[in-house]
Amino acid sequence: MKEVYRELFDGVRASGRLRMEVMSMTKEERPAQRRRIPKAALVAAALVLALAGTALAAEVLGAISIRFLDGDGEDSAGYQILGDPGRFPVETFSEELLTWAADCPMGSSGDFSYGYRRFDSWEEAEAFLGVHLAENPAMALKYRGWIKTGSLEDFTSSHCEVSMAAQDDLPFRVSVDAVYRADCGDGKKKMVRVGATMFTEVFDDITSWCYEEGVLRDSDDLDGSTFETYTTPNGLEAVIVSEELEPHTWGFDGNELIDRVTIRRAYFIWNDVFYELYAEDETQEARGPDFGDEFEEIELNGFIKDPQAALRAMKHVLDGFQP
Amino acid sequence: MLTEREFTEAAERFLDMVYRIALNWFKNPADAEDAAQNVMLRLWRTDTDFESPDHLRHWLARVAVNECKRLSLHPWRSRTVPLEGVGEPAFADEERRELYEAVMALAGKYRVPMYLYYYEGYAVNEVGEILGLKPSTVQTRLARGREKLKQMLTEE
Repeated sequence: MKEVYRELFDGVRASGRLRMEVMSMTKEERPAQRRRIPKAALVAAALVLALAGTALAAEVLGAISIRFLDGDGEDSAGYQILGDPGRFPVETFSEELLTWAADCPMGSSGDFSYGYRRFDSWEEAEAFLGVHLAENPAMALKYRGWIKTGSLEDFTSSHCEVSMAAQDDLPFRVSVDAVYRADCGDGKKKMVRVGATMFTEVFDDITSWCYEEGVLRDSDDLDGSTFETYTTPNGLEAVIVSEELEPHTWGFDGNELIDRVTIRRAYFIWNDVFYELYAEDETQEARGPDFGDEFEEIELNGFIKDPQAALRAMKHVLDGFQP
Repeated sequence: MLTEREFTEAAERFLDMVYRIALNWFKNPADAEDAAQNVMLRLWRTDTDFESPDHLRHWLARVAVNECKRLSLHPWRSRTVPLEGVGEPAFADEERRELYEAVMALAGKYRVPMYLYYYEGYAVNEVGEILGLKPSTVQTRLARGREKLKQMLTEE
């Protein structure tokens, strides 16, 4: 067998184009040494989360924990969200969904097939799945937002999307994503995306060779990220990760503007389903002929003069999940 | 951090290995190139002190596997490509192309351990360490993969 492999792969080499691109990487500036987050702080954060998870232990609430990666070894620096959502029997889903799973085209790996379908409402998506996911009055407000579709470049306007991954014609992951305009608390509204993901028993065959630890998300960088646990009045416990992006500076007519964006993500497990909520806080500062001499927060182009508006809107949606 | 010369040497020596691991994972050259490029960029940026060429090779194999995991299966990041866009490497003769097709027809859980074991020469426990699997699982996968491949080659 060794001979077979030798014969075969000796002739398989990286292309000249890839080789050239790799060799030219040395022209790229390397980042300054990564600002290390003190280990003690990471351990403290992890402990808080772990303790919160232990205290919950209620049946409907699953614990989320965070694994911090320091980037010293083979992993990139960042964090991984770990959880243990339930495994749904394949028969939980409707006949329609199972037929769709069998018909979906193969993805690029050739091992899994994928499919995407758009719906006008969360309820319609639930009817298609044959599964009732969540009661949440905050999600009654419809908004046709931007939802990413199956291809990396293709964005399309859709309120709700169901995506599915399958192996051997059986679904192993089914997700529903929808976008809502939720109340910031001051009469204004911000967009919050809600995603619910269900894993089936088939997923375990895949995780055993691919995702040993049930990793659900990772990030390339911890810099500018903060972690907190949030408990809703209904006792739902979520982990909220806030990530500050590099400020974007631009200008017009002699004015200077700085856009600041903080991405908010909330994770929790509810009735064996893994949820991820997403929202973005954006604020703007400006100075110049049309503004003052000093940088001041302004309200322009839909940017809200409040760095926590989306966070409040996200918490409003979180609070809406009913036991 | 590696010097420019050290990086160039490492790329010359190990880029093919990284690419082949990714090719075994994704089965198509386009995704394998994306993954290999990301891995080499990580090598350029890492501040890991490599103790030996073996350490560097092992690090690259693990990072390649991690990068492939990262690029696949993420709930909001699954890309589909039309079949005609998948492609395969060019082979000098028909026999080798058929062999390649048979290897790539194996499930991913067999393909990657078999490549690391039979081509890269890693021991069972090292393959397990790279893939995050128990050695006994690796052994089972190697045995089953070998059996399936033999079956396919005999049928042809």
